[in-house]
Amino acid sequence: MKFVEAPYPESEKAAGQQASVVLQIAISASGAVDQVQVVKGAGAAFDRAAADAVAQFAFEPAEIDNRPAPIRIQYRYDFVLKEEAPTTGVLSGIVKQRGSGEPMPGVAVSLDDGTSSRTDAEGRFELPELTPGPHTVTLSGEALKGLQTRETIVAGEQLKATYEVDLAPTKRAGDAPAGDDDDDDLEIVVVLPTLTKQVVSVKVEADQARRVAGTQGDVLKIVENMPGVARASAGSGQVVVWGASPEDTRVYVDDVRVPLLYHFGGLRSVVHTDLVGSVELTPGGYGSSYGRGLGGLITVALRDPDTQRLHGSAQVDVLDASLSASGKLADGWTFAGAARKSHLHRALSAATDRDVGEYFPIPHYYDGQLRARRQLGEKRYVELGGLLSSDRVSRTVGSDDPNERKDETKRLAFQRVYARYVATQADGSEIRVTPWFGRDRSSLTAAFGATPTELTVSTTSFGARLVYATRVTDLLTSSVGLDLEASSSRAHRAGSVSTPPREGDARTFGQPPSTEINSSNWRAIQGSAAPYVEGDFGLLGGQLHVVPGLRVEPFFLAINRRAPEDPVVPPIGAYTSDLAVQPRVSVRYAPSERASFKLAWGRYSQAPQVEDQSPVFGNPLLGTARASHYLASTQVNVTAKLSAETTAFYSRSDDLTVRNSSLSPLLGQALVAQGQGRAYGAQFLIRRQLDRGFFGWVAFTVMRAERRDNEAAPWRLFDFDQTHVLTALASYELGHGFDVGVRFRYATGLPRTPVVGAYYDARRNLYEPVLGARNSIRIPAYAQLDVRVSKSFPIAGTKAEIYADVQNVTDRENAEELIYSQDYAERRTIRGLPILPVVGARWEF
Amino acid sequence: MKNRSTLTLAGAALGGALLGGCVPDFATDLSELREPRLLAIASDPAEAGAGKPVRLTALVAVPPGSSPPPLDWSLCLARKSLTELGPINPLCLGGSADEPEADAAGGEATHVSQILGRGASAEGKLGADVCKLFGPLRPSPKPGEPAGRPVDPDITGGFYQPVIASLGGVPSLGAIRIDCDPTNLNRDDALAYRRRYRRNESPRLAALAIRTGSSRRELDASPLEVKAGSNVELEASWDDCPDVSACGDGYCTADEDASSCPDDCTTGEVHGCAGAESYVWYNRESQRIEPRREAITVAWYASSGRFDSEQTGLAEPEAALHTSTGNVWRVGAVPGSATLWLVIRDSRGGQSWRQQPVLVAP
Repeated sequence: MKFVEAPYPESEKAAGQQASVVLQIAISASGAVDQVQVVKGAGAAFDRAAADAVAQFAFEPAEIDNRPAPIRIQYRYDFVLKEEAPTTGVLSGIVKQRGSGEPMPGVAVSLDDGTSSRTDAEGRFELPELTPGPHTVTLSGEALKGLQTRETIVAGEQLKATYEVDLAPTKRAGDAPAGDDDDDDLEIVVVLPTLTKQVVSVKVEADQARRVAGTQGDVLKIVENMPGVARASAGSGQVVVWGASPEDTRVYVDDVRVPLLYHFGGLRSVVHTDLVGSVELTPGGYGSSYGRGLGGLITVALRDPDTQRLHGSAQVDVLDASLSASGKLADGWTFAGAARKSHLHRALSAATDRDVGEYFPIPHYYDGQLRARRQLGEKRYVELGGLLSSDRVSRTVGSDDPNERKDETKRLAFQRVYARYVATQADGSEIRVTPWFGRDRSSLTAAFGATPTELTVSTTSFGARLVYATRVTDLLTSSVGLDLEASSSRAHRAGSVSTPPREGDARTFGQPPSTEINSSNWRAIQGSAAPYVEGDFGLLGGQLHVVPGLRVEPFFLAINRRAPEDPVVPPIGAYTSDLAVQPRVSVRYAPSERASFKLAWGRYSQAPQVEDQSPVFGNPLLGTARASHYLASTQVNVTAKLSAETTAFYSRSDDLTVRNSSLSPLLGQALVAQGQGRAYGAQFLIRRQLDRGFFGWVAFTVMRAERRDNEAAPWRLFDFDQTHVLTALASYELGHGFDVGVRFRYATGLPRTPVVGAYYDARRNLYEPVLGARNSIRIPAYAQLDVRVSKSFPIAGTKAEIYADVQNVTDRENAEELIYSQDYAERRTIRGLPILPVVGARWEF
Repeated sequence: MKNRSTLTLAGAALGGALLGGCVPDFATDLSELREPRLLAIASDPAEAGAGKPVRLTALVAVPPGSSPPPLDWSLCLARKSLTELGPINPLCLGGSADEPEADAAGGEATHVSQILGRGASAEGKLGADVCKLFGPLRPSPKPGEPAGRPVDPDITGGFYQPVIASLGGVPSLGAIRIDCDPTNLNRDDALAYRRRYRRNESPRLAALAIRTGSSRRELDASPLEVKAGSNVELEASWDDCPDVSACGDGYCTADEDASSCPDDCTTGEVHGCAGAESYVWYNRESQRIEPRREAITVAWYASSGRFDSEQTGLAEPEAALHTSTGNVWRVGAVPGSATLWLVIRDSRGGQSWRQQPVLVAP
């Protein structure tokens, strides 16, 4: 039989109709169809189509008495809709300006097959029914020359792309007028979907951060205002996030780890503002590309060196003076550098009341950064760079009583040199290799009467980060890497066994140190090599991202002395190793542009501090501490510029290092890894992105952080616990070069252990406190309003700016610490800084 | 007037003169006595070995018109843990001394303290294991465990048996310096230490003088006459102690013993210098036996008026050069009888005192 398929009537197909048509067919003796008649129809279209097709049938002749004969049959023709395999794909997305995130309307998005579309007012575009396969995508427009990238279209799928276009730098003094060729140095940056973005983080661009009141123009001080960050005691400069100790939060400057973010006193950061592109704080739950810290993560991204011409600045205020420069060295070579030195001690030497100087030591600091970059290709470069920083703070209190004479000097210096190779492929994948070398030296030398305290640690460290991030399939983007770090430290500690104090010590401010002393010298080597992998599965058309990650980190710890020094017994070292398998996963679901939900969980590990590995004052056999982070977050984009984010978090840590509470501790076990910690709470962030000169946010954190010294001990408040922290800040460009910013901060006071009595120590002729329940009272709450006003104006092709950053404009008497009379019979508070104007000037060329 | 202050690092200051007034000024002046107060605890001898008897006395200053409350004595027998940053296990300061208390780590119960009695003085005896309990010997191990960590020495290389003297139920802490040889010395150093170390001798005020311009008059036991509201410059002095041992100087010091210097070292009795003594200690940092000089402090108290400084003195290097310290007494406005008390201490825990009657004239 010859069967002819009837074409499916279009009208019926479009309507999704199926049907059966029964026909009577007259077949001749030769097998040809003589006549077709519809017996049971299904509508004119189906009937006609069936009849026309059947009329073309050809049959084997029927036989009657072994001779071909004409016959009549009934035949049913079924019309069944089939799913057709897709034959085209869709490309859609958004084009926006890198940095500001401003959408770019009117940009033509064209494919090499001639298909094109234009972005709407929100920067969005869509190209349907595209031929599957690789295509060249071109972006062009009024402000753009033709920029190209490559995409692969898959039949039946929609590829959502985000194109961030790096336009020419904001016009600065000395730049060529608009229209010059120098303006057209553009770059298109293909953003790998969400892989590099942490689940819960706050990122601020440097240009915004500089304008925030209370930062004195220091970009990195914006971290203090981010949600989840506790308000540090005046002058401490410590960063405490989500109940983690300051040393548990890691700081990276472009993949290079540095020991601290702020100089002593918290007045300035260790990296010059002009070199900073952005700073991102992840208070917890960060991905598998980082580790070795139980707390949060601060990543500072440096600004790319200026490729146009030489730019720079000079700045001076009451704190310090600084210079910066960035520009082109030669063809393909660019550089950026900065230097800064403090002079606060000179500014205050004439005006400082000596009594105040005894309580609040004045920091001395300097820092410098230098980078040179060689562009190897359009998207490849190699860079060499270095950072250095130095801090010193001293205090001396004289007295007729030798037991009341006090002396303390603290120093910290670090240097880093690094090399970096970055290559970005046409498909957006990136290779990044950053080896670095560093030296750290910290020292504390103090004397309280005749009781000394000394702690010196010198560390040489090596590190390297290797990252390869790529889109594996249209559903999967992945990042694999290796994070190496090793350090060799030489440490010396001598003097009082109770100082420097530790978190959790039952003590009160001003309490004399224990007169029991000892001495210890040790060397420690620590290292870990952590391969990691992280994948981003984009599902449901990109609405759902599941990001599993795994970091496998072997730690090795070696110490040259596991027991106190003995002139008779030679030293015996110790070596321990640990394998930390750290799974991490995050899930992000964004059912619409307006709302997204996130969940994250991760395991984290941290090696012991070298200072804690003394065989006399610590424990050479301390292992790694562990933590688990749990996060849940929602974000609502109220408008394109206004967002609200709520995050709930819980973290639990184990094997924390604490003092040994045994009445008869074993040798080499002055510290033990039995401590536990937990922190839980929620943070809220309402943020207005920069728009028409205005930006700001309100961040509120409510949380509780607790510790206990072992499983049997009761929970107590963490020394840095702050139940409520509120920061509200805003900045506005008034026009005519005027900027104004305001910041309000409120924070619960830090917990303290009350003194419930005192007894007289006749041997030392002083009173010792009798302490109540640990951390059961608090310093009064803190509230402060800061205002910043600046005015910039052009001077002969350059730009000058004068500013006043007034802290505590209401002159509120905030309490910074509880202090007692000598016999502990009376308690008062040490007041913090009164109204404080920091005025300065800045010149940019 | 400058008070003794309890200071530590707090933060950074900015703004110069704007910061005046940040620090509270306590009116507390501990040099002024208005009610009975325990001011000093002395042991005789000032330093003793394990198992040796000691006699404890206390200076309880009683302003005119007051009567001293009872004084109860006990020896603390409980070690303190490393988490206790104060000088004594808090259990020794309160609770019943007869009730056994458990080790913080859940070990066997031990008595917290030994009651010595009530009175202006008490007799006690250092335990045979005092160098294990409070000294450099490693404490007796618990079953199945190695011996524990010994107590760390103080800045003079010494160790102390805590003493509690409760005046009217309010405890004060004293200490008996215990003579325990440092451990972890090689044989030569151990022998040298034993040969050269001399037990502490409590310092003694050799003289209390009043200074008027360039003149100086030593006071005796008769009342000092002063005018109400006046300022009196006082000077306390002590014996000058030798830097190096010299046989025949009257002091049994390093490298001297009964056989090498019988003039200074009578068999069974050793005399030290009642001033800023020279002594040797084992420096753990340098791992050597090194000579040192005691520091001396004098605490000043008055039943009327105030002193410019509650305590004055000389640190170790200064004490080698000078043998006196001074202060200014701001006499009270109310005429009548008054009393001055001075307590002299050395850095090895030795102390003694002197009481001076005063007549404040209108």
